[in-house]
Amino acid sequence: MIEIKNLTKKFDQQEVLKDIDLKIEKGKVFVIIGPSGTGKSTLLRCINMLEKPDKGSIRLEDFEADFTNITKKQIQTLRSRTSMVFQNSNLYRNKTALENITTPLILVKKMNRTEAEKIGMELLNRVGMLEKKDSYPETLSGGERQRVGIARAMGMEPDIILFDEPTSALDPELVGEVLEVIKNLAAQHTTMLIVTHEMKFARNVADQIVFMEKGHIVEMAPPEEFFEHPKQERTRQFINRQVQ
Amino acid sequence: MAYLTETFLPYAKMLIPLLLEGLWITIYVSAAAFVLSIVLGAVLAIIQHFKIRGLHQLTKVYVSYFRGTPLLIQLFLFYYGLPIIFEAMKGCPKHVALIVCLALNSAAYISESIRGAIDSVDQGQYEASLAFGMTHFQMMTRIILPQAAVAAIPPITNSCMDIIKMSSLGMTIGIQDIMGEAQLTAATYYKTFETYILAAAFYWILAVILGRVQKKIEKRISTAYQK
Repeated sequence: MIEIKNLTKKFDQQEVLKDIDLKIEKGKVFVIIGPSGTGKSTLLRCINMLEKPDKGSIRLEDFEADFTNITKKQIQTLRSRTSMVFQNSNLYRNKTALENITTPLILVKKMNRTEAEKIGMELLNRVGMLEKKDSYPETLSGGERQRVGIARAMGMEPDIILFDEPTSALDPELVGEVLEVIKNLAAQHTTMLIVTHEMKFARNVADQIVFMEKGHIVEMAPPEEFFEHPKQERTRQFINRQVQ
Repeated sequence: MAYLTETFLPYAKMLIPLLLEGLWITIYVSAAAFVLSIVLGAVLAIIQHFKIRGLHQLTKVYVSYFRGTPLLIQLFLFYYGLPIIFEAMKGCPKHVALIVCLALNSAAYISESIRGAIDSVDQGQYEASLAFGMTHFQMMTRIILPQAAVAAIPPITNSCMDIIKMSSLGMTIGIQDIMGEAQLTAATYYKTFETYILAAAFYWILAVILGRVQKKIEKRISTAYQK
C-alpha cells in the first residue's frame, strides 16, 4: 500500500504538481496517462525523492514521512522501498546484467554475495535474460536493458515499482517483450505505478487508470469505465484523440 | 668508432650504476607523490563537482595557485621558506619536501582531469544509484568513479609522467635522484654530453614502460564499454 497526500511540486515559480492525492492498495496496478508535460514523470520522481516535493506526505504500510521535513534516513528508506524503472533503463554501465541486480542488494540491503546472486539469477530467468547474465549493458539491446532494469527493481522487493515510460525510448519492435514482462508482474499482483503512452497496454494491465493534466488528477477509474464512460469532458477529448 | 669504445662505453659503465642508484630514488619519490596526488586530486574533484559549500571556493584558489606558479618556486618556498616562519618544519627531510610539493602541484592538475571525467558520466547513473537507496559514498565509489576512470586514465598517465620528469627538480635541494647523480658526475668528470644523454635515456625508458602500463590498464577497465 502506498498513500500520497497533498503532494505539491514547483519548478521555480511554476507548480507542476498541485495537491496530488493518490492511494494505491497492495497488489494493484495504477497506470498514469495524459498529455506530455503534465507532471506524470515528476510525480514518480517525487515518490522516490529524485525530485524533492515542496509539500505533502507519503505513507507505505508502517513507514510515514512528511516531504517538508523528511530526514536523510527516511529518504533512504523510502528509496529502498520504492524501485524505479527508468525510461532509458539507466543500468549501471560498469556492471554486468547480474551485477546490476546484485549491487543494490549487497550495498543497500546488506545481503551477502551468494544470496544476492541466487536472487539475481532467479529474476534474470523470470525476465528471460539468464543467458546474458555476464553481458554488460553496452552489448544489450534496448529491450534487454529494460528487462534487466525491471529485474533490478524487482530484486529490492519494494512496496511499489515505479515505471517511468518504460517503452518510450525503445524501437517499436522491442516494445512487446518489455510489456510482456510487465504484464507477467501484474498477473502476480505486484504493486505498480506506471506512466505510459501505450493505451492498449494500459487498458490491459491496469486496475485503475489515472488521467493527469496540468499537474492535476483529472479522472481516475477502472479501465473499462474510464475508456467507455469517461465522466470528464477533458478525458473524453483525450481518449478520442488517442483512438484516432 | 674509437670514441664509442674508448670514451663513451667505459664512462657509461662507470656512470650507469650511479644512475641506477638515483633511479630508485626517482621511482620512490615519484610513486609516493603520485599516490598522494591521486587521493588528493580525487577529493578536490569531488568537492568541486558537488560544489560543497565553503570548501568549493577554497579548492578553486588551490588549483589556481598550484597551476599558476612554477613548481621550483613552490619547492623553494616549502623547503627553504616555510621553516623560517614555522619552527616545526625545520627538520623536514628533503625527500618529504619534494614528495609533498610534487603531490600538491600534481593534485591540482589531476583534480581537473578527474572532474572532467566525472562530469562525463551520464546523469542517469547518479539517479539510478540514488533511486535504489545507495549513499553518496557508495554511489561515487561503486558506480560513478569506476566509470569516470576510463576517461581519466590518459590525462592521469600524463600527470604521472610529468611527476617523474618534474622530480628532477629535486636536484636543486640536493636530492640524489637520476638528475642529481647525473649533475654531480657530469661536474666531476666534465662529461656533460655523455652524462645527460644517458640520464635522458633513463627517464625515457621509464616513460615508455609507463605508456605500456597505461595501455594494459585501459584495456582492462574498458571491457565493460565495448560493444
